[in-house]
Amino acid sequence: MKTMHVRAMLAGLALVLCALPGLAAPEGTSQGKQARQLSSQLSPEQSVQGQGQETFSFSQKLPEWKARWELARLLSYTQRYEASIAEYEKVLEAKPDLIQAKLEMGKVLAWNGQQEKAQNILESFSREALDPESRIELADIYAAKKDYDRAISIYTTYLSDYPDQDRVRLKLAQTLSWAGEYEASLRHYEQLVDMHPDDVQLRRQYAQVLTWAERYEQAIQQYRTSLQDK
Amino acid sequence: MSLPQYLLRPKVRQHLIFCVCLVLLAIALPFAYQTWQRGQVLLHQGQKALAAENYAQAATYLERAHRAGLDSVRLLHQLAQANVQIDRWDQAEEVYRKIVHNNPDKLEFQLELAQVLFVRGHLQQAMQRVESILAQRPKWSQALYLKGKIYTSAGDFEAAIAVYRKILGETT
Repeated sequence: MKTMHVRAMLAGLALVLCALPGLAAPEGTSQGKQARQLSSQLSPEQSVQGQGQETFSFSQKLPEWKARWELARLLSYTQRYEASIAEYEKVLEAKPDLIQAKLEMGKVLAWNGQQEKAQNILESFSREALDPESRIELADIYAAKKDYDRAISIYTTYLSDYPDQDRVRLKLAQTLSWAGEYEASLRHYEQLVDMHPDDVQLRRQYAQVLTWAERYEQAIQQYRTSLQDK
Repeated sequence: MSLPQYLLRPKVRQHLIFCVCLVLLAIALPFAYQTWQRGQVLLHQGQKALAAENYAQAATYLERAHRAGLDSVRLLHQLAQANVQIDRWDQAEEVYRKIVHNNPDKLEFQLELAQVLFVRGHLQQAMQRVESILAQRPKWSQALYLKGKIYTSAGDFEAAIAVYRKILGETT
């Protein structure tokens, strides 16, 4: 009896197994073909690891420069510029092609008063390769070195892209005034004073430029307003 | 109506039950196989999309493969990572939670979940997970790195500096 059962079971299974290939996607169908082609193309180990965002791959050891880069940034946030620059140098020693780190180091050098080194780094990039903030940093360096034309050019281009950036408009207004282009400077100051009528320091800077432009009556009026505000 | 007497004989009844079972099996198995194979096709399509860095499509295929009954760690991991790549953070978190639940001993998955929580701005939850990971692997630089990132996001720069110095083996 047992033998009969086993035989029947085997026969049944054989039947089922014979039926399976027919029920599954047949040889000629696109689905079947696709499944086979794909399985031949992809190894079982093929996965998303290593593609895309590296932060989601923790299977490998963390490269030292990554931790050092974060450290360099944090040291700059806490205004320990010398230490930050030292860490950036080590990062760039390990990864010389790390453009972002190089740019950041350029900015930290500028904040640390090392204008010459900062300028060298920032100028090593094409203007297009610089992010907007780095461009402003470079313009600040030019302005500090009395290279007003280059600074004005950068500020003006920046403001054409970001016209609401009053911080940069003020830089442009100041630089234009230092370059002796008072009328152009005053136009930006007027815009700024309209936007920030309660800013006493801004109004006094405006009055100062009016004085340089020999528009004394207007300057007096602005000084008076600033004193009233006070 | 009664069954013929010979059908009630124990041996015949045994044979009948066996045959019914066999028929049911013959009906069910091909369907199960078909579903499984559909899942495999979807999985392969998903993996092909991943290889082509078409993450949105990959996520769709892998999600469908998962719904078709496939739930291997590898599939779920790929699904989670595809979701990460297309910034579907809530889905990624859900899948990672599933992976971690099924593989509680695999610290890499726990850290990836912590990373998702961090990106989603759940700093406290992310930190709790990282702390729990570090309790098991105190010197794991990847976990320490994420801990530093969490401190930085929370504005605790000094604590972050201390963590990065620890990774670098510095004391000051």
